[in-house]
Amino acid sequence: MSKRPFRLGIAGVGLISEQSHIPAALGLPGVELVALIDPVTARAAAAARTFRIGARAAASVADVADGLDGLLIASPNNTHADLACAALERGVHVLIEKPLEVSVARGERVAEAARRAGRVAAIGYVTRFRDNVLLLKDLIDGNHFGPVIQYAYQFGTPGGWPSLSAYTLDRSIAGGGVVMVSGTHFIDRALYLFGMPDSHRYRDDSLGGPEANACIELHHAVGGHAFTGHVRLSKTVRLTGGLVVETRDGFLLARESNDTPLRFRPHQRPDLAHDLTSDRDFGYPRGMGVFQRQLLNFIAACRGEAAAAVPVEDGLASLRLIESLYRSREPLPEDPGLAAATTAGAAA
Amino acid sequence: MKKIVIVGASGLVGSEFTERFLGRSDVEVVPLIHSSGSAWRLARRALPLRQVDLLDPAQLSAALAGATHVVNCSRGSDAVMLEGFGNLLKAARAAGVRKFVHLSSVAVYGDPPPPEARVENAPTRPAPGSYGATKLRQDELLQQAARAGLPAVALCPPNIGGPYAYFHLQLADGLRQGSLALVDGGTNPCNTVDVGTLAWTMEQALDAEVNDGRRVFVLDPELLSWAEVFAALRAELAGLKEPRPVAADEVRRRTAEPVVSLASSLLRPLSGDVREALRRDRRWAAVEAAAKGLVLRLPAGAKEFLRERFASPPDVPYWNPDSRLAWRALSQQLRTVRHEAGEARRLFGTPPALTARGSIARFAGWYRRMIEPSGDYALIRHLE
Repeated sequence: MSKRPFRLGIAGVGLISEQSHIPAALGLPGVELVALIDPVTARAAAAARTFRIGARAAASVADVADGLDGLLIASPNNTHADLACAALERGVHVLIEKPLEVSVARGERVAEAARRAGRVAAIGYVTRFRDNVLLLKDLIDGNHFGPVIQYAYQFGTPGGWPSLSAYTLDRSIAGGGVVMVSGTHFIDRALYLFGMPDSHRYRDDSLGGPEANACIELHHAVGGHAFTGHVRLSKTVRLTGGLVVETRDGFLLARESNDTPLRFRPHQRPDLAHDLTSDRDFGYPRGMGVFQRQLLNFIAACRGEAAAAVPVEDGLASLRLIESLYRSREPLPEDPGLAAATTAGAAA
Repeated sequence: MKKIVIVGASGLVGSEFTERFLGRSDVEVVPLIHSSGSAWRLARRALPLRQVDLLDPAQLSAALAGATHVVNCSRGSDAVMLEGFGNLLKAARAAGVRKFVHLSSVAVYGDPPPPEARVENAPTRPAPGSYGATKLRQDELLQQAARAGLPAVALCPPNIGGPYAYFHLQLADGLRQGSLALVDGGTNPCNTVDVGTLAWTMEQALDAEVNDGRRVFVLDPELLSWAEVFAALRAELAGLKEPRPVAADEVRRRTAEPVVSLASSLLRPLSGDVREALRRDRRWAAVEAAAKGLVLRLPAGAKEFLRERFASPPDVPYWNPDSRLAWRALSQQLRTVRHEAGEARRLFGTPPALTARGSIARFAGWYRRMIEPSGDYALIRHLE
C-alpha cells in the first residue's frame, strides 16, 4: 500500500528556502509542499508562483498547522523557538535550520515542547549528510587508521550569503557572528566526529559587533587519549575550506564540499592521495543531494521509521559549546600594519 | 562638523575609508551598504550600517539628510552604476553637500590605454559595453552635476593593492598556482595605489579646492615594473613559484577577440546540435539520408578523396605548457603607460610615504596572518 504524501510547510521564504529547501521538497517523491509561511505573505505567494505550485501563502503557523505533518523552519535564528513551539503544540513535527536558536535557554524551550508533544524536532545541520562526513565518522569510530592525533579545520568567505533581511549582521537576531552564522556547521560536525571537548580556548575580532574572524582550540580526551583541534573561521577572507584529521597512519582530508570524496595521505608517503569511497550507502540513496537526504531522514523520523540524524539534543549541544566559547572569549590581536595605515596621515 | 555619507562602504575602499574616521570626534560617518554579504569587516565594529538601494530615490534622500560630504565607492549592475548613480547625484545636490568625491577608474581610457594616458586629459576610448565605458559615463554624469553646481571630484585609481586587496590576492594566488608569467621580461610599469594611500587622498579631496568634477590619478609613489612586483611578492611570501617568460605577441594572440565573419555566422547553424534537431523533420531527414546514400555509392577512390578533404583529423593530445596560464590577467602587462600623479600632489599634497614595495609588504603581512596555513593550521596545507 502506498503511503499518504507527507504534507510539508516551510516557514521563512528567504534565500536558503528558495535556493535549497523548496527545490529539495519539490524533487522528493511522496512530499507535498502545501504551505509557505512568511510574515511578508507577498514573498511566500511570489515563491509559490515562481515554482508553479499551489502551496498556500500564510503569515503564521497557526493559519496552516491543521493541514501539516511537518514544518521546516528557515527564518532568522531568533524566531526559531517561537515558530517551532507553535507547530509542536499543534502536533506538527519540526525541522529547524541551523542553529537551533540564539541561546541554550531558547533552544531548551523547543526541546521541552517536542518532549511534551511527542513530536520530532530535528536540526538542519545539512553537512552531516555529506558522503565524506558519513565515511569519516565511520572510519574514526572504527579506528580504521588508528587513533586521532590532531585535527585542523578552516572555512572563510569574504562575505557571502547576503541574507535578504541582513539579520546575520545583527548579533541579537543571529545570536553571534561567524561562529554562529557559518561556523556552527563545523561545531556540530566536531561534536559528531570527536565528541564534546574537555576544554577550549576561543579568540575573536569582535569590537562590539558580530565577530568576523574567530580562532578556536578544542581539547578532547577520548578514553584517556587526548588530542587538540584548531579551527579558524572568517567572513572577511577566503580560506580553502576543509578538515584535516591526522591519525596514527596518516592524514584524512575532507574538503568543505558536498561532493568531494574523502582523501587519505599515508604518513610514509604523503605524496600518495587515496580517494576513499565506500560501498555502504549509510542509509541514503546514492547521488541524492544533502538537502533531500536531510528531508528524507526527517520524514522517516516523523513516521517512526528512523531516528532523526540530528535530534534537538545535538542542536542544544552545539549551542552549549558556542555559549561556552563566547563566555571564555579573548580578543584576537588587531593587525598592527592595518592600524598604522588606517591612521597614517590622519593629522595631515 | 563634517557628516560624510559613504556609499558602498562595505567594499575594499569604502571599508578602508570608513575605518580612517574611527575614534575621530571631528567627523560623523554614515556608512551605506547595498547588502549584508561583504559588510562583516565593518559590522564587527558595531557601526550603524544602513542598507540602501541606489535605485530607490526616497531611500537615498533619507540617507543623505544633513550630509555635508558624499563619497561614492559603490559598484553594481549597469542599472545601479548609471541610473542609481544619477539618483545619488540628484540626492546629493538636493542635500546641498559641500563636496562629492567619486571613485572613477583608469579603465575609462580603454584597454590598453593610449600612451597619452600618462595624464588625466588623455582621450578616453573604452570598449563599448565594457566596465570602463560604464565608469566613463559616470564621470560624464559627475561633470554635468558639477556644472550644475555640485562641487565634485573624481579620483582615478589603477590597480588597488594592500591588505584585503583583490589585486594582490590574485597575484599571490596566481604565482602560487603557476598561472602567472612575465610578459616580455615584465619591464612594463605596474600602475598601483595602496588602499591606505587612496583613502588618505579621498579624505584630502573632501576639502581640496577642486570642484569641477575632473578626474585625478591617485598612485603609489615610485611605481614598480611587473617583474619588480612579482619579485617583491616572492620575497615576502613562501611558496610562490617563479613566473616563466612569455612573449607579448603570444599574449596578444591568446587574448584577441575572435573575428566573427558573416560566413562563419552562417555556418554556425550547421553545428551538430542544429543538424540533430533538423533530423527530426521528416523531409530534412530524407534529404540527409539520400545524400548519405549517394556518397556510399561513390567509387572507393572518390570516397577516400572526400574523407581526406573534409573529415577532421584525428585528435592528437598536444601537451601545452601554457595551459595553466591566466591569459586575461597577463594582458594587463601589455599596458605600457605609466600614469602620473602630479595633479594629485598639486591638489591634495604628498601622501604618506608608502611606496608600492611598502604596499606589497603590508599586504604580505596581512596575508601571512590571515590566510597562510601555518602554525596551528599547518595541517591545512595537506588540503592544497
